Amino acid sequence: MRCKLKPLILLFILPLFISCVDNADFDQINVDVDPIMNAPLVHFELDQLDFLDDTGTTELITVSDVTDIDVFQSSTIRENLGRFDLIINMRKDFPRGFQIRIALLDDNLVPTYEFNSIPFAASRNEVDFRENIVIAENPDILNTTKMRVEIELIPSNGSPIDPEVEWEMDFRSVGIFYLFF
Amino acid sequence: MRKLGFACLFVLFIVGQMTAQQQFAFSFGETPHTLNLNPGAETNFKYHYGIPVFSNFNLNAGMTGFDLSDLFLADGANFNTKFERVLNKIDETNHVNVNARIDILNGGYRYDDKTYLSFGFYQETDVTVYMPKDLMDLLYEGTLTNLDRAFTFSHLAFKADVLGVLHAGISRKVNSKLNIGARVKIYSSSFNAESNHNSGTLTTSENSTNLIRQSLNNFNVEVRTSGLVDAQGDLSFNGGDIISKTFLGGNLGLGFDFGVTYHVTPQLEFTASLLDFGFVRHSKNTRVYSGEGDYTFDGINFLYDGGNINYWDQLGDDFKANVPTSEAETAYTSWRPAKLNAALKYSFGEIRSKVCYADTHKQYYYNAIGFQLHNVFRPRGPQLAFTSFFETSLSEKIHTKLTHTINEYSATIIGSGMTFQWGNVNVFGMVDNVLGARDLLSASTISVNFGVNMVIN
Repeated sequence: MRCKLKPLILLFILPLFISCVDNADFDQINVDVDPIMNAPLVHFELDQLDFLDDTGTTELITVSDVTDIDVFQSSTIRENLGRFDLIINMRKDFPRGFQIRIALLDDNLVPTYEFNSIPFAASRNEVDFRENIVIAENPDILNTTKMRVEIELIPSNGSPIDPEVEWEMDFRSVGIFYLFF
Repeated sequence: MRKLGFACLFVLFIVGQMTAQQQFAFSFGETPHTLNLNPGAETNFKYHYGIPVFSNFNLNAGMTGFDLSDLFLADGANFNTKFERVLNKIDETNHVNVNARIDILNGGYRYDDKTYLSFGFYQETDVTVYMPKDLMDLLYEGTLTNLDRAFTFSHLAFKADVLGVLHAGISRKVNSKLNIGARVKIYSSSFNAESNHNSGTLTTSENSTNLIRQSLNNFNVEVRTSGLVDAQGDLSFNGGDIISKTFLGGNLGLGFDFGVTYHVTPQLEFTASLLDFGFVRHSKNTRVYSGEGDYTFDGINFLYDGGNINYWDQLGDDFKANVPTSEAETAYTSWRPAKLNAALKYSFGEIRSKVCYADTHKQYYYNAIGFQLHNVFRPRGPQLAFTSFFETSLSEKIHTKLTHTINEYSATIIGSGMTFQWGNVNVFGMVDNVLGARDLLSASTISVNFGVNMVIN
């Protein structure tokens, strides 16, 4: 028995002629990659002793701390950051009011961006804050190398700080980076 | 239209990833090419030599989880929408493979009635990349919308090789039923990059210490490369170097092929081979990048103690202490993706006699049916393929093969191949996935193989 399957020849040759990719568009490779990354930033807890001097009798008007943050010097951030949001949550049981001032600074401690001062009234126990920064409108922010958080104690309204009475204030923050590649 | 087809194949050749799926040609015809797939294949010629570069060209490309039409079909849809659709379809088991092999030199010589020697040199590019689903989602979407999701680094797995292979083999007839063979290979790798068996997760979750916490757990990632950077550690990746180092100028390795042909009865034949059982020792121009550890990040904890603390440096030091990373010129061993082939063939129909070496003759049947198994050992485990086939001779000089293959790419892969002898010129050509060739864009796998050799009886 000899199988005369000459169509096999056609089957072999056919693909060479019918192969096609004419319905393709390889020019459309242009993916907009826009990840949104969130990262914890600064957090702290202050108690009544942090607002008293070493003698424990005189109230400090302001306390301030600063840290380097190199995140804005990363080439990925510098080239692709479109927007930066700062989200803050603060809680306290102090019967005193505060003003919180946050600034982004350059190497020379010159502000690259100053957030609106955040009032934390004596009557409130919790405050949430969010500020959105469009980088195109605030390009100096990309020169940021430091971050400062300053807490101003509002003068007493009859509730002086007693070193023996425990009061606490919590500060928590997160940064949201909107990237556009 | 055909130009576009070739352009597509070329693109796949350049940027794709590869899998050796030459199983189509396994056990097909007593041609020089079959010796590459089974050193124990029977040969019936006195000597052969390949036409340089044209001796054997093989290209295979396959992908699972999606196909090119999902991305590149000219349907007017937004590319981002299509990309997101693909991203939602795939998982970490999906992968893309491409294998391209070109014979530069190929020859063989009959030492005696029972022994046939063969040798050659070929260049091979072989790439397998598994879809790092979680890492792609992380880069595409970010962490904000993925709170509590543990992005896993275990999805990172790939292996890419460009190498030259100098080989010499022997096919020996033990008796009328049994033919065995072996081949020794010296690999010269000009480029290798691989990563596998990674672990670890990155999770962003709500937390009471700060608003969110980022946790890196059980992180253990290693990426090994050779031929990517020069001795100074600078990126050094150019085509000329890559090609030239395949000529024994790269990192060397050793491998073996083994094969057997056994005639259970005059009509029933069993063939099997183990290919590329070997390794490459990478010691030149290597860079091994690694990192390991656990870390929990709640942000920077201000102390307000007036100590002028450099929190950022502390953070960096703490991270390095807990997740040490390194970039080292460490030598390492890379195993070749071994392939296992086996076929059972039943011949039937008209019996013919053909002229073999030294005016000897051999009887053969015009038709055969059978099945074959093919397995290639990939970073994430074996890739299996099952093929049933029908062979028929259209004449004494023309032999054809029709196959149906089921593998992870598709269950409807129809292949066709042909080998014919024109004087001393032996030409073979095969296309696997004939149905897919109608529309390469939608084909999950495609394989082409052709070659021209001089065969002297």
